[in-house]
Order: sequence, then C-alpha cells, then structure tokens
Amino acid sequence: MGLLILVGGDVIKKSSSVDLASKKCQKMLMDLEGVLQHLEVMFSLTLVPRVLILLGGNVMSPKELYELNLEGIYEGSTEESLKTASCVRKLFHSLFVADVFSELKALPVTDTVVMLQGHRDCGVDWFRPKLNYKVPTRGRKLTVNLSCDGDINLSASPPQPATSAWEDYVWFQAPVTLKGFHE
Amino acid sequence: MAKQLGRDQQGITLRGSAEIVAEFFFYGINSILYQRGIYPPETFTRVQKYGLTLLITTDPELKNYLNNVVEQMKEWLYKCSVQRLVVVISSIENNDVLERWQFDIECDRTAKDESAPREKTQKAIQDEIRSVIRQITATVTFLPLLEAACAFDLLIYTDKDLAVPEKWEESGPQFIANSEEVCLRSFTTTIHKVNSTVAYKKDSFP
Repeated sequence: MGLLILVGGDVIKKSSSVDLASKKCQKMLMDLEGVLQHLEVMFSLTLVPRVLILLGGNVMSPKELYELNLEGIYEGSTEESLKTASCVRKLFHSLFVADVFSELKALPVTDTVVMLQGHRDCGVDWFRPKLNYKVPTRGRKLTVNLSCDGDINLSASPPQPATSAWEDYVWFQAPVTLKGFHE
Repeated sequence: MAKQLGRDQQGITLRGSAEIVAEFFFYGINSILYQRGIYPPETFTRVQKYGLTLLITTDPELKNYLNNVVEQMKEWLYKCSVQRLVVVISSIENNDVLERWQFDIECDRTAKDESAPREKTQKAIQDEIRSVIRQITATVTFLPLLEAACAFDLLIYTDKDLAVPEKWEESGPQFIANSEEVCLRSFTTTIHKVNSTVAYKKDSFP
C-alpha cells in the first residue's frame, strides 16, 4: 500500500513500507550469500573447528549465540565423502526434533554476525582476525555438535590435529553484519 | 466495581474452542499445501494470522473445498465427535502415499455441561498454535523432496454413529509403507487438544 502526499496541488508518492522492507530483505540476502561464499573459501583454506552465529547485542554480549562445533568432522577423500543433501537433512531433522526454537521469545529487528575459527596462517583475507576474542558466556547459547559417526576407516582419514594444535587456531569475524528487517 | 474482561482475557467456551481448532486446520492445511508444493506458489496469497505471515490459497475450488471441510469440522468439534484429521499426500502418477500429516484431537466432553468459560487466554492459545505452524514450515528443511506431482486427501476420523455428509465417503487409513515419523508440538484450548505428527517414506531419508 503506497502513501500519497498532496503538496501544493502535486501528488507525491512516497516509497511504501513494503518496498523498503523488500529492499532490506534483498540487501540482507545478498550479504548472506556473500558470507556463505566466503565461508566456503575459508573451509578450503583451513580446518574450521567452530563457527559462531551471534544474534543481537554485540559480539562480546549477543542476545543469542549459536555455536557449531565441527571438531568431530573427519576429513576424507572425495570417494568417501558423505552426501551434502543427506547431511543437511540429518542436521535439520536433529534440530527439529530437539525443538530448540519454540520457547524462544521473538526478538526485535536484530543483526547477525558470523565468526569462525581458522588456522592463524591460513591466508584468508576477507574474514578479519580477532586474536583476543573469547566466546561469550552470558546470554542464550546453543551448541550443535557435528561429527562423523558410524563405521569410519581410520586408515583412510588423515590424522586430526591434537588438542594442543587447536592453539594455532584463532577467531575470525565476517566484516559484514547481516541486518534484520521487518516484513 | 464491575470489571469488564478484555477480548483477549475472555474465557474459552466449547463453541469458541471448536472455532479456534477449526481455524487452525484451515491455516495449517493451507500451510502444508504451500510448503510441500502441492499447489503452485503463485496461487497463494499472504495473510497475517497468529502473529505470522501465512499463505492461503486463492484457488476458488480449493478455497470452497477447505471452507466446507472447516465448517463441518467446527460442527463435529463442538459435538466432540471427531478424533483425528489427516492430510494424505500421494503421487498422482502411481497413488503412492508419500507423506501423512496426522492431527489427533482430544476433546474434554465435560465442557458440554459447563456454563462458565474456561480460563485460558486467546493469546496463550495463539502462541501455541504459532509454534505448530512454524514447525510445519520448518519440516521443509528435512522432509524428502516431493519431486513428482502430488495430490492430497483429507481423512477425518469420527464417531462410528455419525452420519456421513453428502459427497464424503468412507476410506481406509492410507498409511505409508516403511515410514519415519516426527512429532510436532501440540496445543490445547483446555477443551480441545491437538497433537500433530508427520510421517514420510523412510528410505527417502538415508
């Protein structure tokens, strides 16, 4: 629905709130697409043991924090690789059954920041290193642990870094904040 | 001093509960038909309900069909003579049942004899219904893709002695062979309680 203003005999049509929401939605989707593309690049440069999705507040004190723990993911050859579609469906099935979102109160329009761990020398240029970053302990937090379960041919899998080697992994922050919007 | 209850604070009567639950089925079935791609997305329009943007059909035949079902459900819910509503999704090509959305209804028959409304706010019920509708949308993330053209049937389980309305016919349960099942949240008006589940073919989800 547009808003018309009559000014001195002329009719000026202002941008409708629907158009504005649509523009914000498009901008957010474009930014999200960018973040996802850069995430894929990051995964090709380094092991990524953890990803954080921070909603609202700021990176030190978000309203909600979602942590993906990928330490249990084994790397293997292309022939051994699990199919993306089934893994994604399995992940969302597990999230659905856990029913972690129903009790949450609706947030106001909220920004989202993505952070992830990577090797300090991985050579990534898009994500910005945050060497002193510590994962917030306050606020609502959900950790999703991903692992490769079932029969694993250990001889085919390269050894994973020992726990002490995670010390060479630092936090990086996406330089883009995903802006929330009202429909 | 007389105290007038706001609309949101008014209690729930059997009639009101039947309307709320029937209305849920209207929006729930529309959501399923949209999310599962049973009808083209361009045949749906957006409306605001339960604090959500929902999609309902603009197809005149489908609209008429659903309105008739909802009106019948309202009557049966009021009489506490309906136990279950099922949305069966099958392949048009070979009639294979691919998905089965089952809504079990419990009715507290003591409400028939009560004159005073029960204390539960519309907002509280709406919040619960919102969670269920959100879950219907969320199932798209893991349910098997329905690649073939599909049609849907509505099965309604009623008391045995109920007269079958015109144009309705008796049917079997149309279960899915070798299925996986997921429970959704339930909601209650304190008079009617609705428990929801969705079943789908197990071998489609490795």
